[in-house]
Amino acid sequence: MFVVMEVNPLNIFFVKSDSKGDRLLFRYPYTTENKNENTEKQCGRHNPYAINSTEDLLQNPQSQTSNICKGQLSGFTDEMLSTLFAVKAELCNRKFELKVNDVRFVGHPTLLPYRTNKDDTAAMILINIVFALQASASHSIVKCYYDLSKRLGKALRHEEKRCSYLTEEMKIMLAAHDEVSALDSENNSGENDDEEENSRHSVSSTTYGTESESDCAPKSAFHLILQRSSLARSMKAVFEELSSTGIVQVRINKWVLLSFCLPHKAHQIHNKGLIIEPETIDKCLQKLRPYHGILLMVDPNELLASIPLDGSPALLRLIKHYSPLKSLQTLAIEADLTLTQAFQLTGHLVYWAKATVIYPLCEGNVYVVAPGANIHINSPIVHDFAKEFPGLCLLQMLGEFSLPAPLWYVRRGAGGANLARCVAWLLRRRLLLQLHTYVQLNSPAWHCPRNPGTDLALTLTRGSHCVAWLLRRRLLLQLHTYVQLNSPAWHCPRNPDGNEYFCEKHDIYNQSCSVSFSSLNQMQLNVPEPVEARDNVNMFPDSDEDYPTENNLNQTDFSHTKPIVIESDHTKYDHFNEIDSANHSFDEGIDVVDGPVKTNGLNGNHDNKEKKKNQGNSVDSGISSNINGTSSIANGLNGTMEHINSVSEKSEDKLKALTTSITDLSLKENDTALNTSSDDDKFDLDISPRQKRASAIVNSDKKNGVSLNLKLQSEMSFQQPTVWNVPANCEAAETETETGINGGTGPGPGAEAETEAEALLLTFTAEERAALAAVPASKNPDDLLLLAQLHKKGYFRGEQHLEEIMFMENVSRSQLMQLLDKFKDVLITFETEDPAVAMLYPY
Amino acid sequence: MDANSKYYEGCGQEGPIRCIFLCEFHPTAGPKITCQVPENYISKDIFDTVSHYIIPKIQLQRCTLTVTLLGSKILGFPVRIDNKKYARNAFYFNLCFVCDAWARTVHLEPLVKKLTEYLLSMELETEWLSKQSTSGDAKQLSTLMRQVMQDINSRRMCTLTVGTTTTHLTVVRVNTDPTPVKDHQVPVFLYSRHSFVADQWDLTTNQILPYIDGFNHVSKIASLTDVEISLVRACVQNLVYYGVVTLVPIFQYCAVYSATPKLRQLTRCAGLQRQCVEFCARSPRQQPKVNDLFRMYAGMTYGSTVRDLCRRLKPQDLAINERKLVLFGVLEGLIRRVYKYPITVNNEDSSSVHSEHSQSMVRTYNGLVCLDELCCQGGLSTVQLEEQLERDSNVVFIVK
Repeated sequence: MFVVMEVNPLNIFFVKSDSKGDRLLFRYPYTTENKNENTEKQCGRHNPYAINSTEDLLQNPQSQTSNICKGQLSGFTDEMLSTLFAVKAELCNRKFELKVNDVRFVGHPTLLPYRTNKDDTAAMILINIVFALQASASHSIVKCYYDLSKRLGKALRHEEKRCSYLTEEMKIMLAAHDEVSALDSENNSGENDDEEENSRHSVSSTTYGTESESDCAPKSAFHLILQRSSLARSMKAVFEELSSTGIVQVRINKWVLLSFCLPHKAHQIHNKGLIIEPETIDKCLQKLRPYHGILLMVDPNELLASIPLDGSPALLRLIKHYSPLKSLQTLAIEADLTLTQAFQLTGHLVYWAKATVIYPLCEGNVYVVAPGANIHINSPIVHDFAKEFPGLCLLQMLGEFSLPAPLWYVRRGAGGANLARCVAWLLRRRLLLQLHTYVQLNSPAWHCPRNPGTDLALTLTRGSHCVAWLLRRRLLLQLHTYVQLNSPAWHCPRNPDGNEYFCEKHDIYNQSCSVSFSSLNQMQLNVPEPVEARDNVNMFPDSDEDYPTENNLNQTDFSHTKPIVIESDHTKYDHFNEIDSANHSFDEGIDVVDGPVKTNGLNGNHDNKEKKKNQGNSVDSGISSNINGTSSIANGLNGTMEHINSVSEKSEDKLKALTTSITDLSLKENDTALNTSSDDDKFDLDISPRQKRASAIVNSDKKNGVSLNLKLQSEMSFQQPTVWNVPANCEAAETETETGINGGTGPGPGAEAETEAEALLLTFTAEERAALAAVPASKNPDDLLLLAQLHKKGYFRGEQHLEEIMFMENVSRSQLMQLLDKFKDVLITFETEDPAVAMLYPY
Repeated sequence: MDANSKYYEGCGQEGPIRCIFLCEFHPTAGPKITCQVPENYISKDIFDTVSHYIIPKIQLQRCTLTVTLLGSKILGFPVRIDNKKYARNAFYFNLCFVCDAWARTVHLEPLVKKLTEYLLSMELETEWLSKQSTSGDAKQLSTLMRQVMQDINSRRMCTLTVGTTTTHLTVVRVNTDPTPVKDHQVPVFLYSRHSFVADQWDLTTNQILPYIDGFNHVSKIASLTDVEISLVRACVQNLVYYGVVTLVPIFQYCAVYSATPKLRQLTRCAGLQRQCVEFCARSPRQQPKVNDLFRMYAGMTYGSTVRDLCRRLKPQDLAINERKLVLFGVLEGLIRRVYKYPITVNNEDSSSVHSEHSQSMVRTYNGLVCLDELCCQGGLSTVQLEEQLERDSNVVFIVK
């Protein structure tokens, strides 16, 4: 309760200071305290048994410790406050913060030129709009109030400049003050003498019994001002809106619209006692991923109506397409926004308490009652719920969520048809919390940082020349992988690894989303490694290809309308026509509209390779292309990226078996796109690694789609979570090169998988591999391969929940669950909440 | 601007006292700094801009004033002494502490007040302050202020002796009041008991201290020590306020815990792993493996009790003490307790039909009291209570 109160302002003051001195022009609320109470307060709390000895010199009089009396400010006279708030010129236009006992005053003194009546020469006047808060209010609350004061000051400065609004309003206020003090002095002559001193100080704020005598007795000056001045009314509106909703929408002088939100307060409209600080929202935004969704707290139509006319059209579009079933990515595509924009708008909506972040509602979601859910038998929520869903009882409903079961299971028990609505309602009130399953590889060597060198040395066992060559290459690749991502966060104590990890990713996303790719970060990652790779690989006689390094350096803006032609670099690769599967993995998700347009010949248009590279816009596209020495065939058609979507029939069979059952709503369309990948006008969000490999091996029937637009392209790249795709894909390519088959039939799938899995296995440590070998399921190369690939991408570090893996890798839930079950001896699963979502919960 | 981004305004950290100064209202020169340690930390210009917050009008005398301006925070407690012997019939002074603007200063407020009152009493007795200020030789005062600054910054406490008078200053951390302690909660030490100076505490606290072992709950401690339970509660609450102990839920094999997102730190943070292994070991000779510990924690989720977990994973074979495991997890925030709240659903239509058993003791559960607390109140085991509640069809359980 105390925490809830400290958000509210105690008072708002308007002080001016000019050549004629300082004056408290207006304050709200202005009803002052009863004098008796005041004196009692100043004496402090009395112990009835204590002897009141006034003679003790050393026992100093009890000093005043509180200036808040019954939720109102007390013990300050207007004159005193005006001298305090009329700061010296040196302190203008910066934060003013003064704490007196348990009251904190915060304001932004604004210095502005204004016209005096007599001559038109501009004089400077200082105005200060000060808020009085409880001193215990947190710093972020104080900051918000300071911001509001600053904005009010700016609005007034603007209006003064435009039409001398401030001058007019001040004139009204001063006149009212004079009027009342004139009346007052008449009255005062007949009044009690010992009150005289007091009333001299606080004459304007004394209301002489606000209610009873208000008709006959002289009114408070502030009362008059409130009737006469529109500025005073605006300030009153500000104060009242702050105290009631925390959202201020005030038009100063019917001209300047001041929109302000105090999130600490605003979130309490929907959830009493829930304090969300702007800093929390920022942190949540940092952790926001494309698969998150939003849940509006208010009716979308109401929200649309409440947005001012000059509101962002992007926001309107987003709200129009809103559904709690959609992920932000889907929303962004449908509303024609970039993902970054969608994220920013989400942050905005969350800040204004219009939305909260959720994982999109779907039947496979597991919900439990939130630990902070404030439920008791008489809580008003129970009645609200009964009103909203007649015939249902909130308490029984929550009882259904005692065990972590997926929603489709709960549906059998209760809720029925409107369960989704019901869950949305409960989520809005933060009564339910979603649990996610995280997977952690049971690594025997958690605490010792892994040593890639020794690890690899153990694996160099195969005698065959060609395999050794492959291994060497893998070795290199693996080293890179460690250097890039694994190392920064694996063994840093005290630092929650997850954060750093996410941040880093986030950066990469941002880079890839913003159009320029000149970021140092990427350059560093891209450039040096290929050189190393080339040197090493060239020692082998059968590596007749060259490794272009230049590709990486051309990380140019891909918004060119024409393909970049760098002939010299590419002519020598003419005889290669494999598809760069590494790149491929970054191209999926393009909203393919035109369907199969044309098939590329073997000697594809190499001019567009540069394009392709940029499209990849991730680290490994560079690495893989350099190591493979192969480039993808891509056509740039008037600035649009070409999407190679070749799928071999063979691999598809296998895949179908794995992706048959689809439980997850959110992934449904992706999956269908997968299974029927020949028709390209579906969202082909993310092809599973298996399929990518297949497409790399057999690329005889390629189908190319043309992406919709660049914007989509750039944001699609968002979904790629890691840069560890490389080895698997380039491995396939390498094998191919080695066997000298260009785009023909690759080696048998079994052998292929074996070598590949072997390569992937290198990402496990020796101990881990030993443990893996003991699992019967590891005999199945497909399972092992999938496991290794997921592990390589870092999904088994307890960072990403199953839904994220499903989203990113486009595997179905059942496929994943099967895998987890098969390898349950080496994998540990645990269920907990998504930190990004849980951040907005009260506890 | 310091590049140190760790210290920003509102970071909530305490900072050192940068400067202490005494200022007074000079009869002719107005507000001025009499003495400052270190010299010239607050320049004349800055002082002039802020002086009317430091020597304020009469109504603000004897108020704790904190003003944050120009990158520093100035704390003061202005005082006025009315006496005919002074020029202008009054002596105004204010002893101020200066801190960085980012620092938290609430804990210094009582200190400023006490020090001011000490100076005030010396002034009243011997004119200690006004003599120094008129003579212009404020050596004694500056020595005193230097000592305060040094001692408070380094040791957080200070003992001042001037002539025959002595005063003690100490910084007390300001915390919000801890929530009332409930009977079923278990106090546990946050740091080693050996570093706990027992003679600083009262007799009752000393009596209950040996029984605070992380497993005894409050009412058990009360019965073991033969101390009235409300006294135990008060003592524990006091210890919670000073951050000596914290409260954890009672350990039961039927209790349910859930992993938190923090759990994954156990796979990364070597320090945490070491601590966990040491803490949860059954015997110091045989240490459990981190993997097994993690597996135990990971198995904790809604709907699975500690008993189930122990049956499944056999912690005794893994050299894990499951009680300590749970305690460690709760203390480090790796897991959290999932409580079961019975709540009576008032179905008007079906009320009091089924409850022939509990006719005499029809009780409504308001959903605010968890099963642990009810058990503790009624002296029942959880199984007994659950059985009793299961029979009442009006009661549903909310697990959170």
